[in-house]
Amino acid sequence: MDTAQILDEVRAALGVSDLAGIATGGQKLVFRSELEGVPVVVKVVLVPDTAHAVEVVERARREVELLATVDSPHVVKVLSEAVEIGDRPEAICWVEEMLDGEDLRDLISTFPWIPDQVEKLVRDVAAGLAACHELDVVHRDLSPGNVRRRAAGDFVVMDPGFARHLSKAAITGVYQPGTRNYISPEHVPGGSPLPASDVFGLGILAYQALTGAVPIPFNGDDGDYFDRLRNSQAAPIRTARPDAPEQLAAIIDTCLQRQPARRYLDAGELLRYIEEPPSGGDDW
Amino acid sequence: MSVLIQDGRRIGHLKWSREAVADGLASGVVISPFHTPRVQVPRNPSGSTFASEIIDLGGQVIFDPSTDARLLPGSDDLVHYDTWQLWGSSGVGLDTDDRRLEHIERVFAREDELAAPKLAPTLVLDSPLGTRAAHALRTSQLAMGMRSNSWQSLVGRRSFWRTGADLDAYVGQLAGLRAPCWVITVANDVVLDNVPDLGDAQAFAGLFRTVHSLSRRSRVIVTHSDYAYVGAIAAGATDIGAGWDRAMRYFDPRSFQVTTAGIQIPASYVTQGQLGAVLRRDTGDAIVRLDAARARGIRGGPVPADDMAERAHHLARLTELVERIGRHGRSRRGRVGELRSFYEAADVEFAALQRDLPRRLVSDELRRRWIQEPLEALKIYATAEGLW
Repeated sequence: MDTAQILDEVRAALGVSDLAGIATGGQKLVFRSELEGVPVVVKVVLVPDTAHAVEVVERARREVELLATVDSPHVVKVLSEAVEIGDRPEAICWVEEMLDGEDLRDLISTFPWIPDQVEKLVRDVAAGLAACHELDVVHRDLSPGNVRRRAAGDFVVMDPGFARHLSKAAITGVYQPGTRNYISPEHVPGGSPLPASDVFGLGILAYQALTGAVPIPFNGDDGDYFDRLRNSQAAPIRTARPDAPEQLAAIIDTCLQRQPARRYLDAGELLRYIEEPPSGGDDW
Repeated sequence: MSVLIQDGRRIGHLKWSREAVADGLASGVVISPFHTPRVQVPRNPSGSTFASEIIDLGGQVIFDPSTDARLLPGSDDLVHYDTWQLWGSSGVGLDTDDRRLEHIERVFAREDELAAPKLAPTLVLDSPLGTRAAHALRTSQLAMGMRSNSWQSLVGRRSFWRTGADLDAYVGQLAGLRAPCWVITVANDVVLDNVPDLGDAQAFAGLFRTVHSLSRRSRVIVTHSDYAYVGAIAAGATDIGAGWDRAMRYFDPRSFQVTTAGIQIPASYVTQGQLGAVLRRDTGDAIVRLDAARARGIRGGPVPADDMAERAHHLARLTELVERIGRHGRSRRGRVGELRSFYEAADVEFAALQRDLPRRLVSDELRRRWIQEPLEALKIYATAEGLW
């Protein structure tokens, strides 16, 4: 089948109306459509006719399975099961809720934000990640393209396409997903991303939102970037933003600890800290 | 903050341990299946007798399954070990889930018998990367799945503690298990004498950094520590394992082998509390001849009249140091500062003794190994943490 035939099959299989392209890069196609009159997003993953086909199908199935399991207003909802197109199969597709608002990627030009906005970002994204982490799922690719600010101001985590269910880790093999500038020390090849790696990713987003810059920038050289990720500690946020509130600064600095054991171990732990910050100060 | 007495083979071990716990010189004991049988045999009480007598005194009992030692090449002194029946039908090893599950179930069952916490088994690690590290992590994960309140073990050689960012990444995975307690051991390839060997300062800084990380959420016990790794208390550990024989103070592979030429008994040594060192008795006597009052101060008490007195004296001085560091509570900066002061004062005293006594008695090597190398490891760790 050519792509047009595949999309016809997708429409029929999912019961959606015409598909209007939103993003069509690589193997994954994203469309705007309607399901029973309600605006939705349709995602289609083209399955290559190669030895990687099984992995692509498994990955897409896992994304859908994950989204269907996670129940949080801060994680995008899936509205259908993953449906295979063709006998081989040649594609796999599903329906997600349509979110109003803008991706964080399109808001970078509005950085730096005031602390209240960043606190909202941290709290909402932590809530979304916590819903994933409760299910032993690591997002692994938290970046401005995967967080959306809705019109009402709430933030939603999207596209855990590379998310890894910890008990299904074998599927992903040695490949490490992640977007340069936004990865954790555990994303460096050979590492094992953990829930605490998503916490690090959230720390990067918050740091960037508050300062306009990422704490450990990618300079085009993977080797140098990975070395700095693994061996250097991000500077405290107050060196770049001295007026950052104490608690927010402490949260971001903790998220960005080089050693995962020194961070919040998962987003649930971070949320608990936000809701009940420990009284008094010690260096423990 | 406390000192736990490591298990030993000597006939009086239970009696001496009981007295030490009763006198407040130790908070409890670590029982090893290599040294204590499950069922009573001539001159060796059963594990349950040992445990109940300590618990009756208000002491803590930890059963260290010593799987790491059992799986070392050459560990063949299994007379007591085999009475515990710690392995199932799938065989000895932690390389498959069947073996892991059978072993963990049996270890936990024995610990239930002793009213001891559920301390899970592990392997000796040379590196945080590779198959063995994955097997150890998998074992811990299964143990946490079986008992969510189980304690976990981490045993590494110097090469393991020296691995920097790889170590930190592995410790991050371990911390994610949220075990209430971590029992950490430095495995030695060989133990030649009764003097600490912290010459690989980067490795021990890695140990202290790991203790720091894990102690943020969990209790941390460092076994087979004695004076050598007291820096772990500064880094956040609550307890260290100690004792009076070499195999109690140091993780010595020979203590699990039948070829060991008898128990290494430091009978002619005296603990010098102010030096944080255990020196030969003739050195102690020379200090007395130099200045009896000064000698008493350095020693931290009267001359131990016999081995029994030296055992108590040793535990008392070590406990004093542990409690002195622990008085700083949740301030690692305070703890580190306290131990740094101790080491620096001890080094000054060592230097003074070197001026006043023949070098054959107070050598540069003794000063280096008891004081300067542990201080250097502490300094590397604390400097990196901003605590120096």
